[in-house]
Amino acid sequence: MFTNSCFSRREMMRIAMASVGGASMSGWLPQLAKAAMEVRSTKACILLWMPGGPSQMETLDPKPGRPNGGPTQSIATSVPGIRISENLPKVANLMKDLSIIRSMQTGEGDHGRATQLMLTGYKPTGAPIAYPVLGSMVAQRLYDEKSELPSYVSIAPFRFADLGSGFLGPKFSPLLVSGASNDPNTRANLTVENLSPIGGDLARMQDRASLLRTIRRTSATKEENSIAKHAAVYDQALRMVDSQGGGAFRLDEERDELRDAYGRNRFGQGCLLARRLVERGVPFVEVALTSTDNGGGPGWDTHADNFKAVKFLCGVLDPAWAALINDLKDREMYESTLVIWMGEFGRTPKVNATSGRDHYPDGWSMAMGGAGIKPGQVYGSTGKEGTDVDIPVNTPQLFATILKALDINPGLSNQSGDRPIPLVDAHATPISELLI
Amino acid sequence: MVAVYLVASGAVIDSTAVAQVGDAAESQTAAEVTASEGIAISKDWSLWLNTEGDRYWGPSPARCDDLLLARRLYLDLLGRVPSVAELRDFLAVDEATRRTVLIDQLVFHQGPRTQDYKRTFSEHWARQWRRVMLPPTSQAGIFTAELEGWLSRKFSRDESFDLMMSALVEMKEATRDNVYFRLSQSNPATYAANVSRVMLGVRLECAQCHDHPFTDWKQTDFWGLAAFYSDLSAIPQSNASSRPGTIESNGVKYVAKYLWEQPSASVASRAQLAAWLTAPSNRQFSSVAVNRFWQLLVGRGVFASVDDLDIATPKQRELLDALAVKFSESKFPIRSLIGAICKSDWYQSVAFEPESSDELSVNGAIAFHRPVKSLSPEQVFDSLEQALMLPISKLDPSSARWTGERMQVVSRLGESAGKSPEDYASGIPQALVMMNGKLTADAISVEKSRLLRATLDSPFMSALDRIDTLCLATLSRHPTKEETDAFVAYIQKYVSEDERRRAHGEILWALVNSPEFVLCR
Repeated sequence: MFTNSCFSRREMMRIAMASVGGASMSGWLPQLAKAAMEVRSTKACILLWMPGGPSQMETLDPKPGRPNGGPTQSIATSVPGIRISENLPKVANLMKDLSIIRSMQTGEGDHGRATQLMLTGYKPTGAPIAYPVLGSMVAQRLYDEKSELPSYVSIAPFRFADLGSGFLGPKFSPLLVSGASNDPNTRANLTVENLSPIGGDLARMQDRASLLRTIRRTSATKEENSIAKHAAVYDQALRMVDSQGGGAFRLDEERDELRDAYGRNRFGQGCLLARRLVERGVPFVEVALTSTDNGGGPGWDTHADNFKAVKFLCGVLDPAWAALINDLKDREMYESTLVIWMGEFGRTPKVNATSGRDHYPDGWSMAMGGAGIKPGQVYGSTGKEGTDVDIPVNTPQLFATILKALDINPGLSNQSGDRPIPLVDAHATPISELLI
Repeated sequence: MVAVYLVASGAVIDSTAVAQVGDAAESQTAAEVTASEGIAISKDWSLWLNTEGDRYWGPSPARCDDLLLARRLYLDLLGRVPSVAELRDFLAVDEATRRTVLIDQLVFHQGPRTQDYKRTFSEHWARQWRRVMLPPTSQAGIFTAELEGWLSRKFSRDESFDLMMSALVEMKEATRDNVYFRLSQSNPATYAANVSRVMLGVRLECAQCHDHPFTDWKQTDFWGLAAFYSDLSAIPQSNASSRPGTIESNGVKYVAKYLWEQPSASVASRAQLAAWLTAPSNRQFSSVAVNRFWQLLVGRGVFASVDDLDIATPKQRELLDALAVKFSESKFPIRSLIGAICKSDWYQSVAFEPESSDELSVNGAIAFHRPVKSLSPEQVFDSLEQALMLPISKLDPSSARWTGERMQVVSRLGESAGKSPEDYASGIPQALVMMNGKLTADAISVEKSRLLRATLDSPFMSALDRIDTLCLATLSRHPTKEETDAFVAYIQKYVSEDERRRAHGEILWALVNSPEFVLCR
């Protein structure tokens, strides 16, 4: 297993200063907080989630010069023979650090249903089972219980379906970081609501926590289920307030050039925050790229004016994704961090009457790189016109591959009540070609 | 009631005006006639429940103490914790009768505060049933207020349960009674699944696409129910001539039929469906209703899986069916049922989990459960409002109820609400809003908090009285010895009067953030 090479000595010092900073004034669990800083023995995952369904033709699977290709051109990448869309020049330079699947075939073409499928790995059937999302499943397997940060953080979330930790419970539900604000400075400094203690004084928080412990100890507060859950969540929240999120949210600690490289927008700074969270032991971070306006809607749902809209969104995506990979590599974290890029489906090869592309689950692209993934490959193809998938990949296969890359055995099951629910549906096996 | 009906069925009428007319008429008639009858019925049924339950589950666990029972009753019947004054009134009543007196006050609105209790009772039960009909995972989102309003009017008119459900099934008064249908995306298939789950305790969704794998439900059952609504579909049908009575799906034509019965040429109208579904002879309907009220009050259904009563064995539903007979033979009186459950030993027992929690255990033994319940987001807010003595008048610009703060807190807490009363699902964001949010900030501020000021500025209170009052206001109980000692020691750490006052705010923070505050034991 991977151990502690992700921090340089100086980095360790800096984080320690920032978080335990003033052990005199904070810390009802200083030893634990320190322990959490020392070792990060697990892998982590960052999901770049593209709600609305990005067009494969304008991103990873261009068809220049073909009737379905539209005006989008392709460019060479750092891997000879692999070409992607001109909209992603910085990512093209990093092609040797990631792999693409171009033959996703998932069968759900409705936003809500497809979102549920691609985030939980299970098709919606109306069955009375609240399937957990990928983030919660990974969080449950990789979370360090002593961490001062939550197990799963979701930045600028936007979803077509009401999904969460399901039967895994509140401990693995995502902490939402909205970053929704009209003020560009606030927006860039993504933070968590209600993280500052009332009155602003952390010492006061210690009094409160100790009074709370007194009440918890008394009367009928037995080891009843709800009471134990409440205590677990509160302890997590208290650790987070005490450490102010391990200092993770202080993006202004980063160099200006690095912040610029990520892009001074919600998604770019969200990717930077994702790195800082992973660095501090959060096993799963999700960053969503919604429309670039403040509304936060589904920008990738390009039924009209597809080419302009995707080019615009790629202007935000390309620098952020590339900066994230470079930054993780610089810190020797890339080999332990899986970075996934995908939406709920792709878009029709055929261009519609309004220069748009519609929903298409039958042959679309996703990409991943970092932990566990053999990079520099393209797996599957969609033929000349984007309609002929050669080796279809379904969602359970993708989930099995992702889990395997994270050293999680995809053959395991979770318990929902007395019912075992496999991590991946249909006993799917990983795609070995994509794994190291 | 006749007059009300005529007004309501007139063309375009402001719905709030109708509601007021209805409320006024009802408060003069129904309350006098039914309250005393209802009280008698509830007493009768509760005694029956004690005996029959004893036979069914074995002896009931010990009774919980009086203050805890009061907290349960206020939360379960009005959706908020009791005030300190209400608790003191309760304790002032003779010990032998105080429980029954309080239940009759809250359920049948006897005694003081009648109007206030009646309104809160109706709103709370409307919210409970809205959550049954549109669980947190449904897509209906913020539009549920209309259904809540509809239900609230029904509860406040003390309408019987069969009539209430019949109105939703039949949709005779189309512009108003179709509220649940519209929130089911005006989709016959979705509505069929909802009606069947909520009112018949049968989950048919699986049979939409294929015959049910575990039970006997077929696609003809599912679409046969949906066919009653085929003319109302918001989605254009491929077969444009589609009329109520038949529906097409994937090229197959299905005929309207009652669930578990054969199609009949004479069956097509929603009025017929409503009559069949809510008939006293339809045991499934009344047993599901009784089981749901039991779950909402006791925390777990007599049969735990409330949405799947079709899979219960005869033994598992024996008690339910017997209570359901009483319920339907008395014409489905909701308050009598609620009162009966509350007066029974089972409701009044201590929180209790049996050794083996497996109800389907091999020897067929059936175990009684009295789980700890989690408060709903609205219960949390309304309890904070009560405990902290927040202003509630619309005229007061600082009333959190009307400034949008209630909506904010409720929606944040609702982001991860439990699927059943037993399920505690709050995560970190919910903890943070309780720990550091504005409502709590105002509540523990000596300058802003009414509760703190009322406690600290009262010349008649000793130091111990103050702690006792804070504890009663939030947790509806007296502090334990250990708590009192710890709180006194904490206050005495400080020397200045200001610091000591502030220390009371910190104690209040801990009380509001304790598990006991957001749970109902």
